[in-house]
Amino acid sequence: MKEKTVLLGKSKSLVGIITIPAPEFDVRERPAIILLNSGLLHRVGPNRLYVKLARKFATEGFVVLRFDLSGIGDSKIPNESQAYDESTGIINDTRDVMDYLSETKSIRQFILMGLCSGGSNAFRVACNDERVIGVNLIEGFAFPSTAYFASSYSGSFLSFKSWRRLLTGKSEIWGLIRGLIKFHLSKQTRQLTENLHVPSKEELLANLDILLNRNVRLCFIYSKGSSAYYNYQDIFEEKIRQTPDSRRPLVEVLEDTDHLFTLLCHQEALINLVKDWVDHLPQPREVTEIA
Amino acid sequence: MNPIYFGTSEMPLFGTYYLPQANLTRSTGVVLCYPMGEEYMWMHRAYRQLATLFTRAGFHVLRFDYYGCGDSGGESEEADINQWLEDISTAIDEIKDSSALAKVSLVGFRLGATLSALAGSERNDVDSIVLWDPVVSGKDYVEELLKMHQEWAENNLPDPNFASKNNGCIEIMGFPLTSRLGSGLEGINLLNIEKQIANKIYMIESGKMKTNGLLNHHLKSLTKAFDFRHIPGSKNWTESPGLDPLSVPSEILQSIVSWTTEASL
Repeated sequence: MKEKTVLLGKSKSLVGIITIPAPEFDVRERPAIILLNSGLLHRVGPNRLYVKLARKFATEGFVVLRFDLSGIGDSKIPNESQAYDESTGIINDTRDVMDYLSETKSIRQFILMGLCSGGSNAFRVACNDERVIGVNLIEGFAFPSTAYFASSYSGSFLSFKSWRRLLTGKSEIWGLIRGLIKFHLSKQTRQLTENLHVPSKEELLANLDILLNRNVRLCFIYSKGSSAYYNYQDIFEEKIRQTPDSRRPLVEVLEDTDHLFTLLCHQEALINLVKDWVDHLPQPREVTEIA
Repeated sequence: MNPIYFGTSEMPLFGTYYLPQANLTRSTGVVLCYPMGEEYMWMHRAYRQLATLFTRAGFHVLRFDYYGCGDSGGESEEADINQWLEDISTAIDEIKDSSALAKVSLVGFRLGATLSALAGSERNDVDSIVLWDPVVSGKDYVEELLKMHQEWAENNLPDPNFASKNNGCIEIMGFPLTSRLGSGLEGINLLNIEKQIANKIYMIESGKMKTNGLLNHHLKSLTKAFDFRHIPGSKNWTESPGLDPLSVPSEILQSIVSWTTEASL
């Protein structure tokens, strides 16, 4: 396994690290894995999670590329004199990475992964590029809903610790209450949705249809301890149930973890879960035949 | 800006090398030394901006990740204070080779400042050092980190005790605190340094430092030129660095670049 720095994009403004498996692997036999920034954290990921994922998959024969989107980490915005459209920029940046891997490694198929906004962005890129055959959203998409609030906190109301946290101002419930107030102010919610590129239920289901029809394999991983994020599965649960077994997205919920999978044992559990999902993906040839 | 791997192929270090953008080139190269753990994650943006400011002032700059940290080789479990001090030396040699300059300036925040001071005391080519909220006592620092981890666990996990140990290794906010790293940290005390660490020293206090008076006095006795400044309003960086990754303490960054520029004349 070897790691190399790469400068990507037309103006070479994107900084990435490519992890290349040992020479005995023919990297063209597998899709490459691309890791997208988690929020504003640079390509190393929270607690070095992306480094661990990259090295794990490289030992399995996958080329892995972690990189910084324009304006995040070490990557500059390509032309700072012009207005930068973040929405299309994310798609274009990731396409540049796929182009680079196609040109230099002859790899034609890709799996995109990311935590938080990294997962949501991976989903959006997949909807716009048919080279993507798999997407793993770790804590992807967040949208505060009343139903979710009620179900999440029904158990907590009985807990002494929850009350102590609430009264000492340490509970994230204040954040949720603030979020709920905003949620019910529909104008603000629409604005929030637009600013954060959070899809509406209809948009999400339509995009899910696009990906399922293309036979893109999907995995949604949620942390049960992360109440602000663990809500989207309610929206697509029915859709997933209706999807044939062979194409059904995997939805996994890890108990007791936080949003960033901070504890080492939670990082390990997450990495094993992602690896297990990748291990069970159809071989590239099979995907091509079905498509 | 050029991302590079340097050092040996067995123990590669990731760095970002910057050429000066100004018309003149300063007489020292600048090596930026990161803090560790969560502070590393949240300081990345500030260090990038600091590097850019230095290049605009005419400096060659290298910021880099220690072995077992960031994009560098090695696993987090391999973190080792002695290795990190060697890494700083390797980075100093790297920037001297690349820039053809004979002297360097080291800049570090928290543990990065502490390691800069320790590395400086073992070399004779460190012209100036900026110590930004240095960790004075490694023992106190470990206690502080463990307390922070416990508070995080109490606020974020259903069972806080679950967070204390994992496979026999103590962990701190997502990073392992191995016995090697723990003992390395606990062996650090900046008040025990007996050699000069640089020709000129600039210490910035932005958070709460229990022993800065003692450290000021001690460092003054070891060097001819010692400057100290308290720049308030950025205590979030030491108390809750994760609260706002977008917020960068620009006054401190400007102050560091101005002082280093003056020191290089």
